[in-house]
Amino acid sequence: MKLMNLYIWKRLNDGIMIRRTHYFLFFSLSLLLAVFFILDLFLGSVHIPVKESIHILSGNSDNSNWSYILLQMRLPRALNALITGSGLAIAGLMMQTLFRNPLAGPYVLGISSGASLGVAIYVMSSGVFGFIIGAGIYNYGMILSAVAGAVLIFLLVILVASRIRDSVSLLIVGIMFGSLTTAIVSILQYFSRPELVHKFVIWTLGSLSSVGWDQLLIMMGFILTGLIVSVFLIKPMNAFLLGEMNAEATGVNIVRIRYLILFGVSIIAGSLTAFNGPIAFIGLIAPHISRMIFNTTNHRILFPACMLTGTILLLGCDIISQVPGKYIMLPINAITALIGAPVVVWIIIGKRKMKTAF
Amino acid sequence: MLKDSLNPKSMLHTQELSIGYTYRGSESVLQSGLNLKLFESDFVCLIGPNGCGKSTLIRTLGGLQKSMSGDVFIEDEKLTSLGYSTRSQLINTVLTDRTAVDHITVEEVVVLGRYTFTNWIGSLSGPDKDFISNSIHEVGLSGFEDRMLSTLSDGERQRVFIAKALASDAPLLLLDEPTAHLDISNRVEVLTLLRNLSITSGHTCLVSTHDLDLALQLADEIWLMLPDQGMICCTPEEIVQQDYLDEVFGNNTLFFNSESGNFALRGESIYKIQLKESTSIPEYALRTFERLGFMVSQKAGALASIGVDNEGWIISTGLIEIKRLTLSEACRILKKLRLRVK
Repeated sequence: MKLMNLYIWKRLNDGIMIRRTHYFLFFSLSLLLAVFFILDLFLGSVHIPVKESIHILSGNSDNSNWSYILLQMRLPRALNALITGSGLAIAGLMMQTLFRNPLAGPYVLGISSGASLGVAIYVMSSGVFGFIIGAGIYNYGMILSAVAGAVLIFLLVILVASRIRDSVSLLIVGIMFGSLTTAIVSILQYFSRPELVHKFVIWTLGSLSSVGWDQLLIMMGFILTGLIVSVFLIKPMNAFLLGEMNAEATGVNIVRIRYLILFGVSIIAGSLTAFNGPIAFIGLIAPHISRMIFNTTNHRILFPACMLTGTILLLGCDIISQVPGKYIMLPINAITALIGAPVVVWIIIGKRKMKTAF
Repeated sequence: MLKDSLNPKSMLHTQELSIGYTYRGSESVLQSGLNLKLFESDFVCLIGPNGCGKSTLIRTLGGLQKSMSGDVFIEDEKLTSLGYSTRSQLINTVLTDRTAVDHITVEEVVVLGRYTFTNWIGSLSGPDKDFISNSIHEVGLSGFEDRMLSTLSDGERQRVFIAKALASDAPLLLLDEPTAHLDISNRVEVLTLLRNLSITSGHTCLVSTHDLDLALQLADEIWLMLPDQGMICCTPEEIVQQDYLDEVFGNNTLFFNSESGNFALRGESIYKIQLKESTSIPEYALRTFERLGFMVSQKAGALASIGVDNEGWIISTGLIEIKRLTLSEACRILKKLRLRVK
C-alpha cells in the first residue's frame, strides 16, 4: 500500500489517475519528438552545416541555395510529418476504439484506398471532362474527392461491421475493399491519358516532400478540423471501450458518435492521403505503442500519447527514407512497412486470442 | 390519505409489450402481451429456460433494443420519449457480455457511470467523486480503485459493473445474468449485494439468473418466463407451491420437489442389494446407494448383500466376500457387479 502511494503521484480532478510515469513519459516523448524534428531538418541528401542552418533559421544567411532547401523544402516537409503523423495515429486510435479491433486502422480497413479512389477519379476525370489541373495538382478539389472516397469506404465498413462481430473477418473485408478500389483505379488508368496516369502513379508512391507551404496550410486546416472533432470524442470513446451496448446503457448516443468518428477519421485520413499518398502502418501501430508504454486505454491519456508516438514514428521513417548523405530517396511507404509489419506480427502473436480488443 | 401513502411507487410498467428481434427481415416474437410492473425497492428475479427471451426482455426494458409492439413506461414516462441522458439517469442496465478490455482500471470503469453528469471532456465534480467512491465502497471494492480489470476475478469484475451502475444514481437497475461464470460463493455474494441495495437504498433491481434456488430464497418476486409465451409473476413461495417450476424446468431426469423446495434427480434404482442379516447401515449411505441406482432391501435374490462392521464395509455375492472396504470402494464393486449382470 505504501508503495502504491509512492507510485501514484497525483490524482487529478477528474479521477483519472495520472501516474508520475505518465508525466515522465510525456516529457521524454516530447524531447524525442524535438530531437527527431531537428534531425529531420538537418539531415538530407544535401549536407548543410549545423552552424549555417542556425543562421538560415534565424534569418541572416546569404547562401540562397541552402536557404531554399531548408526553408522551402525541409521545413514544410518536417511540419508535414508532424501533422500527418499525429493525424494518422488519431485516425487509427478512433478506428480501433470504434470497431474494438486491435488491427483496425485507416490503411488496413481500406479508408486510404477509398481516398486513393477519390484522387484517381479526380485526377483522371480531368482528362475526360477537360478541366485543367495546374502544375500543382494538390488543391481543394483533390482533398475533397479524397475525403469523399474515404467517407464512402468508411460507410461501407461500418455497414459490414454491424453484420459481423469477428475482428479477423472485418479485416478481410477491409482488404477486399482495398482490392476493389485498386481494381477500379487500374480500369480508370487504362482509359486515361498517359500523362495523367503518370501523375497519379507518382502520387501513389507516397511522399512527404510533395507539400509546399501553400498546400501545408490547406492540409493543416483540414486535419485540425478533424482533430478538434476528435477531441470532443475523447469522453464517448472511453465509454465505447466497454462495447457499444454498454456505452448505450451508459447514456451515449452511439449512432451520433459513430458518425462523428466517421467524419473525423475521413477528413483526417482523406486529406492527408490526398497530399502524401497512402501511408501504411503508422495509424495502426502508433495506438498500440502508446497503449503499451502508458499501460492504459483511457483516451484522455492516449489521445496526446498517440499524437506524439505517431509523429515520432513518421519523422523517424522520414529521416531513414532520405538516406542521409546519399543522393537517393526511398519511398516513405517502404520504410513504414519495414518498421510496421514486424510490429503487427508481434501484436498478433502477443494477443493469441483476438477476442480481447486491447 | 394514509392509504395513499402506503401505495408503492411504480418505477416501471409495460403495456401489452411484445419482445423479440428481427433477423434478415423476418420477425421473431419471443414473448407478447406482457403487462409487467416494478415498484420502488423491489428485488425481482427473472428466471426461465435458455432462449425464452430473458436477455431480450432486459435489453428491451433498458431501452437498448426496440420492442416489437407495446410500450415501456418508466415512472409513468414513455421510455422511447426519454433522451439518452435522462434515460440512463433513470435506468441502468448491466449486460452479460464480458468486456474485452483489459488495460482499464476499476475506477475508470466506475467513472463511466457518471457519464451523463460530467462535462464534455469528463471532468468530475465533488459530488461525482463522492458517488464514485461510495459505490465502490458499497460493492466492497475499496482499495481496488487502481487495479486493472484484467487482474480481478470474475466475481470482482461483476461487482465493478454493479458499482458503475450505482454511480449513475439511477433508481432502476436491470442486470442480465450477473451470476453467470461465477462460483457459488460469488453468486450468493452478488445476489445478496443486490438485494441489500434494494433494502437499504431503495433501488429497484430486476435480475435475470439461472440460479433458481438462490432466486427463490432472495427475491421479493419471481418473474418466471415460460418458453411457449407467457410469464408468471408472483412470490417465490407461490411459484414453489404451484409446481410451476417442475412444469418449466422438469424433464426425464430432473424434477422439482415442491416439498423440499429444490430440484432433485429422478432416481432409477432398479438393482436391489440385500442388507446383511443383523446389520443396519446409516442413512447417508442409503442415499449414496440410491444415487447410484441401488435399492437396499431385506429380500434375498439381489445383486449382492452388503453390511458394515467396525473394520469397514462388507460385500458378499455368495461366492466371495470382500471386507474392510471404504464406502467408495464398495460402490465401485457394486457398479462392477451391475455391469456383469447386464
